[in-house]
Amino acid sequence: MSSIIEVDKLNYKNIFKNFSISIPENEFITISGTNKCGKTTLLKILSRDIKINNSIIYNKIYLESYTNNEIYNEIEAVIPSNEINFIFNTVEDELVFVLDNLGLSSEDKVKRLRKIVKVFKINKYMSCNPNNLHRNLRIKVEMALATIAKPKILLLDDVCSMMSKDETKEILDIIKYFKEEENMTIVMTTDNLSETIDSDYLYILRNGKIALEGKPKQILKEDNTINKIGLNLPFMVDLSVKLKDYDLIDDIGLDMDELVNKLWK
Amino acid sequence: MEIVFKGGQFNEFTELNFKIESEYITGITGSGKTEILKLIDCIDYPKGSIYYDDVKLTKKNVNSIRRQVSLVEQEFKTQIFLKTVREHMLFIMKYYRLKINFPEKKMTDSLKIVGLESEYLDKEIDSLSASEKKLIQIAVSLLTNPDIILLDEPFINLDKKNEKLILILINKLKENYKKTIVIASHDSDMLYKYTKKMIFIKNNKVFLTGDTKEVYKRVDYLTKNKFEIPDIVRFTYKVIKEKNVNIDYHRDIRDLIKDIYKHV
Repeated sequence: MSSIIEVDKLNYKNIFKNFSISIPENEFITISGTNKCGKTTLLKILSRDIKINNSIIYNKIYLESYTNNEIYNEIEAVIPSNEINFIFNTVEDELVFVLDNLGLSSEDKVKRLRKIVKVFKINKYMSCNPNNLHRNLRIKVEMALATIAKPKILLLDDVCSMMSKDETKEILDIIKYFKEEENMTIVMTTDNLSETIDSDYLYILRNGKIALEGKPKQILKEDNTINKIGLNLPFMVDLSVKLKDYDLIDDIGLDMDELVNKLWK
Repeated sequence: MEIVFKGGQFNEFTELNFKIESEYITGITGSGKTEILKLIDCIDYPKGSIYYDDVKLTKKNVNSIRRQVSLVEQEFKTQIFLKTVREHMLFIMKYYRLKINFPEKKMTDSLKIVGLESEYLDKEIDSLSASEKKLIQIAVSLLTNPDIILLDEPFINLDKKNEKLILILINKLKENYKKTIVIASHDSDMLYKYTKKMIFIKNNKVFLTGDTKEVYKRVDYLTKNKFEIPDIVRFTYKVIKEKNVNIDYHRDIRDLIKDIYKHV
């Protein structure tokens, strides 16, 4: 498995000391950790929001050696805490502006716009002013803008933090779509471990270091370490870990129906 | 302090008939929850009637009632020229025209209640962590000696440790300082665990109100109307309904496990 972007012995302020992490191509990677563990900073470094030399390698070359034109639209990020201002008065104009700069035929432009609008289910809001949208809708629009140009890497900073479980599921389905249908590599930070369950690989950071890493379902079994780090275990993990301690089940499961059927046959 | 909404038109809302009981923790969920907090905070002067301990909100008393209510917003908002916590607090006191004889003492006392040292007065707001900011926001809200504290999504951007810290503080404000607390949140797990009463908002109306533990038992009804069900309730409901096992609804996962142990 080759990595598309990697961090090699990064030193940054007093957040990261000799920090390395590798992001494999076309996978959905989640990064979790408590406040101030460095996850947002890491995302800002990967998105070139914070510029760093000699530590970030994108496609085997240092990130800073690419010109803006070369890398434009290849790495896109949605960082809600950055509070960007939209330039245009409607969501549609925002999307069309990005499209116009891609050099597509007008037929392809229409196709791409339709696709994105469908994936994000934002057809109702096309004529709304993006600056007046509610936070969660705004995030969806920002994600639509980030993905319309088919970037190689999509970076998402805790985009679901204020979403309901249904809204979160919708976002996770959208991520899955881009990974599977458009071969994107997606890196998402979150402090809600239940959002990481369906990712391919999970890193848990603590004080700028990787405390745990692996397949989420394996990592989430480390309930003691996770509690010590200060993260909440998702309900189903918490429940099945405790039931296993009581010898009521043999293995940790995340499916509620399955667990209920195991307990009462 | 008890707050009663007695019908009428409230901006975009109609038929707001509900009561927020004194010295309880009440949760509000559904779309429009922030707007309801703003109504209680008298930011807009509504057409409908709102009673604060039987006193009707009027144009005359709006300022004195506003002082008894504090809204802790999602984000720490301050003026661009205010750098330190002290500057921000002094500004708030001036803004609300508070007559405070010993402002310095008032500020340190407020900090003390939220568990912060007086050194925080000289810290720059930008340098604070998310949880410190939330604590400072609550300390600021205490400057007016409010009876009611409204919290809009107070746990956003906070991890488990810090969430607990804020929850302990909220409980302390209710128990020791007799504050009435209203929490607007989308997080059904948290609301179920920590609130006593719930208000569900839908289509600009109050959809359902009642005792938290009781209302969340109406799983089908709430699901049908697109409200989120706490995981622990969803699990218990499934067990009762599909397996005919008579376990109780619990707030704490450890109590649930004990109950499961008794019934398998």
